[in-house]
Parts: sequence; structure tokens; C-alpha cells
Amino acid sequence: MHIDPEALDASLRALRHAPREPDLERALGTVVQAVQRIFGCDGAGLMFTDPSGALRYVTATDELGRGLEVVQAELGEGPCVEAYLRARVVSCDDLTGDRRWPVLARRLNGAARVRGVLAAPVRLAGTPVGCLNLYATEPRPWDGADRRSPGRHDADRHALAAYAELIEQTIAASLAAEHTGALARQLEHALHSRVMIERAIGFLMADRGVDAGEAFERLRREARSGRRRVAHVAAELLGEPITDA
Amino acid sequence: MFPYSRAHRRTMSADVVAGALRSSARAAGVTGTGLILLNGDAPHAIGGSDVDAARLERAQIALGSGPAFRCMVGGKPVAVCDLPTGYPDGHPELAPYTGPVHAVLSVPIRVRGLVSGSLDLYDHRPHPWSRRQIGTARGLADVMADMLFLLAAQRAPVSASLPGVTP
Repeated sequence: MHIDPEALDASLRALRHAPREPDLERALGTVVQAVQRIFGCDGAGLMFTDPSGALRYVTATDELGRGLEVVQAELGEGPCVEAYLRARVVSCDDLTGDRRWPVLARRLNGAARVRGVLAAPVRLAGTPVGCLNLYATEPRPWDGADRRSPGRHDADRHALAAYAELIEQTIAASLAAEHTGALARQLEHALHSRVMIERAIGFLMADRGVDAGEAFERLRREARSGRRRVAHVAAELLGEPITDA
Repeated sequence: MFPYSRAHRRTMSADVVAGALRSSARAAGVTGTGLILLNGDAPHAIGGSDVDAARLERAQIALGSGPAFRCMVGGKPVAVCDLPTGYPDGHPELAPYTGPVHAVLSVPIRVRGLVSGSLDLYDHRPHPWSRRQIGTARGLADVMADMLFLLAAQRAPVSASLPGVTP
């Protein structure tokens, strides 16, 4: 690490006398706004998981982005849900024609003003707890020819993943400063539901002899067919109590 | 879990800032980033995302000059195309101490409206900085400012819960 902890500590003490109280929600909003401006998108938003394992809206730059997040939270499907569950960046050039999320596409059909979506998982201590997303109101080929780094095919994905890390570091700053018991409990729930899914995947791999991808797909198919949360199916499989939001 | 010892908090704060500098470099698509903060009127080299960034910050503090100083005094971004070339496109006095660092962009970090330091982006190759890159750096400086403010105000009762997420 190339940081001088003494100099940092002294400088932070000097900042402590600022007249206004710190605000984690505002700080997270700053990251989301920076993402929107930098990518030149129509909007950006942030979701965290609730105790049932469902993604919930936390902040968005506008009502349209908020609507996208709310619909995905209701349906339990979409690029943001996928990014969180699969713990990887997910891109969608045009939601209305995307067969990966048929219910979402139908729901948006006709009134669809959100088209291109790019979503990255937000982690805490290595475990996904949420999703940072961008959207465009026109179809958008992510990592296309007009990107910031034309020679780099996946520049958008890498940059959004880096901003998702900044979300994690902003939360870590709040936790390091012992700001909030409420936030710690929220994140504890988020971590719990994710760990439940990972344990269920491990159980299926050992019990059914499938790989992690197939184990995850089985959980998801079961959740979709019963219109339930993946975390609920995982808890049931493990014989654990199901926590509702 | 709480309360942390002062030494533990200090280590956690340093980890957060180190991680944020590395993530900022990736987000901006530059080789590295460094941080200088004011303690009162005195600037301190906090560090960088890598050894070259940390060396750049220490050199500026040791010599009392560089893009970060101009940035903190003027309160606006200062773009340097190539350190070894003559002022104002470069800062040749720094070049002997900054190894492979060539292009540098310094943007002010404002905490509650006051200039509190400088976020410095650098690249190994010389180049002019575009308006888009300057906008990206400004956004990252805003993110860093809020993060530092959270770290500074320890044990404050901030934002009791996030909307939509039930504790």
C-alpha cells in the first residue's frame, strides 16, 4: 500500500470541523451522478439487496431510472438482477428485444423508454450485495466504436466495475468511521442472503454433481417457476428459515 | 464490532483511500492516481495508487511546486502534458524525481466547498488532457471528497438508513 497513514490521519482530523454532518446516502449519490455524467448516459442508479435477497432501489439520478429499478425488483429479473446474481458485469444493448428477460421485455413493451442497460455488481468484502447500473433511452451498443478508449473492447465494462468498487469503498469509509448501526444491519442482511445462495450452489454441486453454473441455473429456474426469490429457494434447499423483507 | 481502536481505524482509513485511488485510476483509464491533502494550510503527500504516484506526490511536497500546488491555489484543474518540458506545459523541476510519470492532471478536492487537497491523475506517456478526461477527474474528486468527509467525521450519526432497504 502506497499510503502514509499518519499524514492521512492528520488531514482527516483537520476535516473533522466541517460544519455539516456527513451523509452516506449523499456520498453514494455523488458516485451515481459521476457515473451518469462520465458515461454520457441518460441515467444511473444503485440497488442493494433486502433481507429476502431481492434487489431494492436505493438511489437513481431520475424517475425513469428509478422505475427501471423498481420493475426489476418486482419481477426479480433483468440486467441488474443478473449482474448481482452472477457477480459480473452484464450489458444489454436494447431491453425491448432481449430474450434473456422476457417478462421484463413484455412489461416494458410499448412504454419502453429505457433501452440500453449496463450493470455491475457492488461487492462488500468480496461478496455481492447490490448493483450499480447505467441506462440509455435509445438502444446502445456498449463498448462500441465511440468509447473513451477506442482500442479497448471492454472499456465500459471495466470503468463501470471500477465505479462499483468506489461504491464499496464509500460504504467501507462509513463503516471504518463507525457511523451507522442501521447501515451495518442492512449490509449484514445483504451479505446473509448472498451467502445463502452461495451455500445452496455448493450443496447442489456436491449433491447433484453439477458445476457452479448449472447449480445456479437450477436455483434460478426453481425461483422463476414458483415466482419466488432465489434466496428463498436457497434457504428452503438448505432447510434454513426464510426471512421476508 | 464497534468501537474500533484508533490504530485500527487508521489502518482501515488508509485501506479505503488506497483502494479508492486504485479504483479511480481504473475508472479514469489512467496509469495511476495520487492524493495530496491540506492540513490547515500545510499540504501533505497522502500517497498514491502505485509507487510512481506516491513518488510524484512526495516530490511536489518536497519541492513546494507542481500541478497540485497550482490546482489548490487556483481552485481549478491544472493539466500538464509532459512533466520534463518547460512551464506551463510541464514542470521540469519535478522530472528528475518522478521516474516514468509524464502527463499529469490535478483537480481540486473540495470538502464542503473548501479546497482541501488535490487528486492527481498521471500517465506514463505524454499527452494533452481532453475535456472529457477533465470532467471524469472532477467527478472522481467529488467522490473522493465525500469519502474523506465520511472518514473524517468518525462516530457521527449519519444517514440512519437507506431508502428502500429495510434494516
